[in-house]
Amino acid sequence: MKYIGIFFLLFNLNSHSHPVIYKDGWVYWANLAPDMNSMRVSYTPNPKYSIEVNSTWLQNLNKYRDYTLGVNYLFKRWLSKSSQGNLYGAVHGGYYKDDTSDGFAGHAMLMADWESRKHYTAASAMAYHYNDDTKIKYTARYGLAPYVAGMNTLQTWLIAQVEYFEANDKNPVFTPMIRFFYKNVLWETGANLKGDYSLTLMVHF
Amino acid sequence: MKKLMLTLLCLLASISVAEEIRVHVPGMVCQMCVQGMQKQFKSAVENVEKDIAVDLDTKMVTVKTKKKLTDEDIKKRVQNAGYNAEKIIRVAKIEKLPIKALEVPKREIIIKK
Repeated sequence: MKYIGIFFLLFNLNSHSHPVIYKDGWVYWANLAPDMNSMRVSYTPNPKYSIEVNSTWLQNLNKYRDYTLGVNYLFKRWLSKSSQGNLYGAVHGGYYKDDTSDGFAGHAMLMADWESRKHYTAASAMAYHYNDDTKIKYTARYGLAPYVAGMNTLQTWLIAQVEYFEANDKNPVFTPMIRFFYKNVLWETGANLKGDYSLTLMVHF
Repeated sequence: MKKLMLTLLCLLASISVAEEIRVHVPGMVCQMCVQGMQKQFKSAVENVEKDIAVDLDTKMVTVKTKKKLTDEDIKKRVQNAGYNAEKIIRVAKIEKLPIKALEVPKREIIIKK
């Protein structure tokens, strides 16, 4: 049960897209699933880094809830004529509490992405530490835009996601997803082959 | 003479020169880039939706402003959006001509054979 809970903890954080945005930009992000809710708010004071607070609630992990504060950092951005690539890192620390224990919770992330107007790829490794245990999850994504959208028109992405988490019986999890991006609102939904679904909403200001 | 001076003053007061700035920004691919540019140039325009255009095909940001923006200022705003300004083109535009004052009365010309 604990590992299932940890899996959901990781699953809810998999859509960590846009950890750093433009100067003075705010991101409000929420992920909803039947047994899990997660929210984060980040502020980007400088286009190189952002400050983030987030909270996660997991029904299946003894009603686990954590509150963390941390920094997301843009190590490098590659800009070419019609595409861009990014390398991000993140370190968060805070407090967790469930029905049986409480203490320090920490998250660390390394993420790379590359995007053109037609294709999108991302890969990330995320480490989670709580209750004196650390688990790492690997995620890879490929997205295809069925049409090329312009300014202030609806952008649509069809995304295939594969996750590998060592605590999840060594089985990678495949999840097809669809993402919509209109003006400053992004929403994304998908369901894996086991039937676990999620909805992510992200708003930028 | 007074009338002439007053007319000239009115003419000058009614002329409004705006500048259209076109900035080439490679690497812009998504709506996030649009949002970033709008956020950074917001203080330089009257209407964000009308005065700032981001063309993701040509990677061109077009800003219509009445403020004097230096090249350094423009580059800084683009950097704050997370990108680099590669080329800056300026086009001066006279927005409001003193039409009434300069209007030439219409005359019908009849050519008699």
